[in-house]
Amino acid sequence: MQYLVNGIVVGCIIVLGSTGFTILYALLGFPNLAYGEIMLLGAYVTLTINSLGVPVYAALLLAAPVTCVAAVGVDRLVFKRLRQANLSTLIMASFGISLFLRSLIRVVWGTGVHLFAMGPTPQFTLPIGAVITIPQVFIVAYSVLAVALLFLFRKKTRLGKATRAVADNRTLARVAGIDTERIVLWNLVIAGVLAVSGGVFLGIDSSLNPLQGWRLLLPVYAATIFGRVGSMYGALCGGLLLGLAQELSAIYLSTEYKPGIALLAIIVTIFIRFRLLRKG
Amino acid sequence: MDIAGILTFLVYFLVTTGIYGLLTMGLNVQWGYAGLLNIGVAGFYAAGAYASVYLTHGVGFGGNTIGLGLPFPLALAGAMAVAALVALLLGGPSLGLDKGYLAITLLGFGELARLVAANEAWLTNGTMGFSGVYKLLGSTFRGLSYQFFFFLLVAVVVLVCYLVIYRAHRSPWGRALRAIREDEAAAMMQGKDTFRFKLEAFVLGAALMGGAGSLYAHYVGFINPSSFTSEHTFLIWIMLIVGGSGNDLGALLGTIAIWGFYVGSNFLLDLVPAHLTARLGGIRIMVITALFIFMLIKRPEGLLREKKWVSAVFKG
Repeated sequence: MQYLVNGIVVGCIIVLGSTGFTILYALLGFPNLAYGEIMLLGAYVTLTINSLGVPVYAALLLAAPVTCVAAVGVDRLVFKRLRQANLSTLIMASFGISLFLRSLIRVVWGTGVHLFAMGPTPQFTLPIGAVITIPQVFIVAYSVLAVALLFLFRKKTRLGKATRAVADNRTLARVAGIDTERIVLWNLVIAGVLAVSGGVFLGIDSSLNPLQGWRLLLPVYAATIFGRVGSMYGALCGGLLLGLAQELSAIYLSTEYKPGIALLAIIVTIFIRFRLLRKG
Repeated sequence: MDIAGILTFLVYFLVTTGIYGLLTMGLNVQWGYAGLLNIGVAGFYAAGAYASVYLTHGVGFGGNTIGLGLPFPLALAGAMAVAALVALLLGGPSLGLDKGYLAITLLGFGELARLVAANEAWLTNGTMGFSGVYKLLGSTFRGLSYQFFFFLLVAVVVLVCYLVIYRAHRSPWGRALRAIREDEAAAMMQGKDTFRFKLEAFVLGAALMGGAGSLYAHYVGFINPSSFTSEHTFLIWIMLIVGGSGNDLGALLGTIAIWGFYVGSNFLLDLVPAHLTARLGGIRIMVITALFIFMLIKRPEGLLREKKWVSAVFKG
């Protein structure tokens, strides 16, 4: 039961990452391998603000704009110049940025492990016999709220509808008079907020070190392709399932292999998807 | 530094350049010729290195449970074969897919390879890795003469591989690969089995990477999982992109340029206080990645652009 609770918490963190990741993937047409590092960068900025004596949740609010600026800045500096480039170039560029940001984190914050200053964390026992901490409750509640807002945004607002239109067919959206760059900008901001939340929650749930962004990318990416790229439901279900699978795997496997579960999920997904496609 | 020290350093630089050159040439076969996005280079490199250790050493070396005790040339060939086999197993299911899926599969493979190497102590001695790996003719040649000997060995391997892929690139096989890279549907319309061509290029490139892993293991005499991280993969990529993908000479030139910068900056590391060394190492990676992104945007063809080439008969 404890694994179940942990799995849901980890799943929520992955969902925060994969929803942002899938929005950008669908909108810009490539998987941004630097997304894990953007999540981590947000967490580290939060860490610095936190170390000045600001409570971690308030620090998260302050770090969110910084992360959004970083996400938009990277896009302006690099990806905007490569909008017409082919898929492979974009993936490689994002690979480069991922390593750049990871090194930046190493240079600024060092290679050690960091923890947020949180004070005592009260915890209580659920009726099913598992222990859950108050921050974990907050993570789950926040994620539910964030995903709900995201769904509403995409279904109900003009901007959300325009986003889906651009993701569907950029040329057609532009012909219809949608300012695609403005849509990209807003979605980078949304993805930035999701990223910083996921990154900070990862730090709250475990700890921070410079390699974590890259490690986080694998389950985030896997959750994204588990559904269809661009599908919110897919990212949501994929993220939760992966979180559960990763934690439950700890019963049988060495915990070091958690990222391996993500890889397994990817391979199974690809295999099933393409077998079905070939038949259908 | 005295003369012998400078010579040792120079030869060390040339040997490591040769090993990285092999990796870059392998990636050039996959990416430069065939357009296959392999971001798991380190995984094939590691497969070759570990395979070579098992092949040359007997059971019980470093606590591992397999070992064949074969001579070095067989181990080199075996390491290439193992890397090629891994490529076959991975490429089979994933090469027919969209590029994004291939990327994530290989990304995951690179990480998983490192995880297995770090955690399966019975097989790989865990994070300790293997030290004291067999040095070829290590009793005949010592010190500087060993360095020179290994340099000759690497030079021969690099030259042979270079000639093989140079010929392959200019053969009808290479032409078909370029056609697939530029427009797969069109190549398919010409009756080419594009999946098969891609798989062949993928396997050939991986074999070169496995060979590089074997040479590395026997040159340095020490391997552990941290020798094969995603940063290594990236370093190979940047060597190829800076040098010029699709151009075999460019691949080697890029290796010399980037590896020269990397090794050269080590002198700078010696000058700063020890507590800053780790940070400067990070800055070095930042400079290299910034250069990489600059090249992607401003000069994607690299220093030496790919030559337009149709065949020996029809000059394109």
